[in-house]
Amino acid sequence: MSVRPDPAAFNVSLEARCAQLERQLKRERQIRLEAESIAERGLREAYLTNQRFELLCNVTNAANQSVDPLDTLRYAIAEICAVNDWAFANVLLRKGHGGDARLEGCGLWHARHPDQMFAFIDLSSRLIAWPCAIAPGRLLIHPAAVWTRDIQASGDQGRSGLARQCNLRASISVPVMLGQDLFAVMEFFTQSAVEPDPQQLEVLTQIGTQIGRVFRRTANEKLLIENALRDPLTQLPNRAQFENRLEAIFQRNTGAASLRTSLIYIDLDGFKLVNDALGHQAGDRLLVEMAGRLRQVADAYATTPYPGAPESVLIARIGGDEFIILVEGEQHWEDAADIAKDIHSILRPSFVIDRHEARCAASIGIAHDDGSYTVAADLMRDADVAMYDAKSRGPGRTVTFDLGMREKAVSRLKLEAELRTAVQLDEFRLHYQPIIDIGSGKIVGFEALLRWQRGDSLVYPSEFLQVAEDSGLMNVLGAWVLREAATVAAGWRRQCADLPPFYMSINVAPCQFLQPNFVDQVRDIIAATNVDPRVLVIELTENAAITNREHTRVVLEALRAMGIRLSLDDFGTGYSSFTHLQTLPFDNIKIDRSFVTDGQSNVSWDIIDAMLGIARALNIGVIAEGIETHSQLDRLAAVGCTFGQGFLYDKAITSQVALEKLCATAGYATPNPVSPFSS
Amino acid sequence: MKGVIFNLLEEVVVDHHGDSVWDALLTSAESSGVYTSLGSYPDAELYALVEAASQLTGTPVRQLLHWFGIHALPKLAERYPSFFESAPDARSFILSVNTIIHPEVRKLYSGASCPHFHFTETANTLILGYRSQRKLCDLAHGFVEGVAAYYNETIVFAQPTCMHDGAPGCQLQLTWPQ
Repeated sequence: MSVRPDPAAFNVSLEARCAQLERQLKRERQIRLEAESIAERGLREAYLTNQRFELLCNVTNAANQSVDPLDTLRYAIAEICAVNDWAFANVLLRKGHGGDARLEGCGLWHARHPDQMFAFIDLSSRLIAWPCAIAPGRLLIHPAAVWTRDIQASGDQGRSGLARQCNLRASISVPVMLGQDLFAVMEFFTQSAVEPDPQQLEVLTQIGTQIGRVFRRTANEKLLIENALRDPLTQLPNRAQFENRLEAIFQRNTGAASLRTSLIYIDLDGFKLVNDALGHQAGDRLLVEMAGRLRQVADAYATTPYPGAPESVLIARIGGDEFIILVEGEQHWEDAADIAKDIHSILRPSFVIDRHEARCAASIGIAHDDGSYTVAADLMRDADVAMYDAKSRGPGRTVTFDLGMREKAVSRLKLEAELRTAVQLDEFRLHYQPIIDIGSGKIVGFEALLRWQRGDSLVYPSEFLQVAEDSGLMNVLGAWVLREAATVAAGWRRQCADLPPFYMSINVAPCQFLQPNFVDQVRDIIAATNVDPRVLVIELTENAAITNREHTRVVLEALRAMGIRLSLDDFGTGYSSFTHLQTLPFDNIKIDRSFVTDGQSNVSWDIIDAMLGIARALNIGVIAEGIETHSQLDRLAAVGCTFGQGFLYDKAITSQVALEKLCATAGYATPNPVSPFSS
Repeated sequence: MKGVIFNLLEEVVVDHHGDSVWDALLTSAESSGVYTSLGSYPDAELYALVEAASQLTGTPVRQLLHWFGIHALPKLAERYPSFFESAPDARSFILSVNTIIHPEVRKLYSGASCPHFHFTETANTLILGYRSQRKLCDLAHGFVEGVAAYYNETIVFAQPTCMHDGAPGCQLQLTWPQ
């Protein structure tokens, strides 16, 4: 069977053929129209995408170059309005935090015809929007772009009435944000009801993010600049800000008395010990507290000579525990002195950190500019010099700079340099002062004392220890003393096998004792020198012992476990706390020479008596220092003091002489009458 | 000139005079007749077609353009209904030419040279200021009448000035009788 169609069936009339062709033509026309319509939709899409991409690019470029987010916003709202032919745009800035968070108009807006919608512009630029269900307040709760088709019907923040008057219909509110931080809201208004367009919203949201970056960047820059001029811990101005201000004062260089300045240089005494003992966090808290007190004093004296002028008093933190106060004005001389006084009294109350009571005194140096200074740094240097002078006189002192101090300071610097050289050239020596059994007059031990062989002269520690401590040489020197004393003690034992029992008493500075590895250092020295640890006595001042009582207890127990004995030095001059003696494992107390040499005072002897009583009660030994006369010796013997040292017996002597004296069994002059306790 | 104008002309001529007349016009104007809304064609081709129609019918060119505008308007409404839907009356539709219609045209055909009308509004009148090298004020006039018919409104048309009379611009004054 054939499938070929019957040709007769196609044998149609001319009319039918025409009608068919017309239908075909119509179809073709429809197809063309359909194709054109599809192509037009595509062209429109492409145009819009391109336009939005360009808009985003333009705003992003502007944001990248911007230093002011408001400039970027100004540019962005104008661009967005121009591209979309929107009538009005307004910027609301986010203000306040937590329950106080709100959006506020800031006078930044863009309008196609400002005159035709002035009432709406005016209200919008002063608008305050609190969190609520409708835009723009809604963005505080849910920060996402909102498209309101017709605000005339929405009840928008009381603006719908004006919107009607100004013929504004749709509103689009766009958050300016980065991450979770909302910085501002851009709102746009159209004069026709525009349907929400998700793609458009996406682009606007992206623009909001780009501008959010400018806000974040600007905030970070501001913070950086603040940190560059401010000490982040205490929030006080830092050295840079202080120096800028002082430099500016010197730049004015008018010489007018009313513009002269004083500098108050403040160094906290005892801060370093707290820092070492309780850790940096505790130290920081103490610093913040003390800085607050200092600021309180400074603020009390600060005045503003004319509106907009810098305050007459500026306080800055310029180092770890160093502060400086600049005092400007006619009264600078008197004000500086008063400020110093107030600082001493405001620092007096103790401050409790982690249940430890901490105290800071201040060493204060003042330098006045009497018009003779031409360089700011010189004034600062002199205040620093005065502060050092104050420090050398003990905590809590104020010293005003004079020219003699400059020479002293120069020689001090020289001394520091020489000390460093001396350490390298091994110019330090130990001399040994005998410690005597008062009852028998026999040598029981020696106190190793540091001397500096500076050329032909012998320099005593009182002349260089403070400088050594200030310049960080103390731990080096201290370790050297320990090693040398141990070496000498071990050497004596080797040289003279039948040497009578003796001990070697070694002073340890507070900073040396507070080193975390102090016990290890001692252990290593014992191993290296092969000294019998039972020969060693470590002398510690009360201040060093109580700075960190827990550390002290652990260290002292570790030392005792090695066989080393412990003396509490300068007893009576510090806190002289009974509790310290009771809780810390000392073997001896050393009565400070000031009590012994003050032989005329009955009070001193009563105190010595009391100290001996305490020692007896706690079953610890007592050594009196600074015995210079027979009457002192007699009296000490009479009250029952067991051991003593002083010029009456011997000054500190060289190792060789000391060994000879020890070997000679003959004792020193025996006091008379003999103490009832020593018989 | 945008291809859509040629398409509209073809539709209006075919509607009123049939296929053969359009074919005759093309022959007379020596035009290929291949026009799509996606393309742009020389203005001269449109003028040649209008000129041919004028000769064929004995109707002046300006009158023909006016007639074309009136009848093209419903065809535009058919093709682009959204423009008409968003304008509630003739006045707002005419006012949307600058702000909505021509911007939309530019979205489809970058570089399209659409005329800009300068509107002067009073309570019941609207003056359209028109300036163009093409001098198609008659076409605009026809479109306005088409719009009035579409919205079923009465608009009284007057043209105080005309570029054809040597004026620098045309003023098309529309009045809604109260």
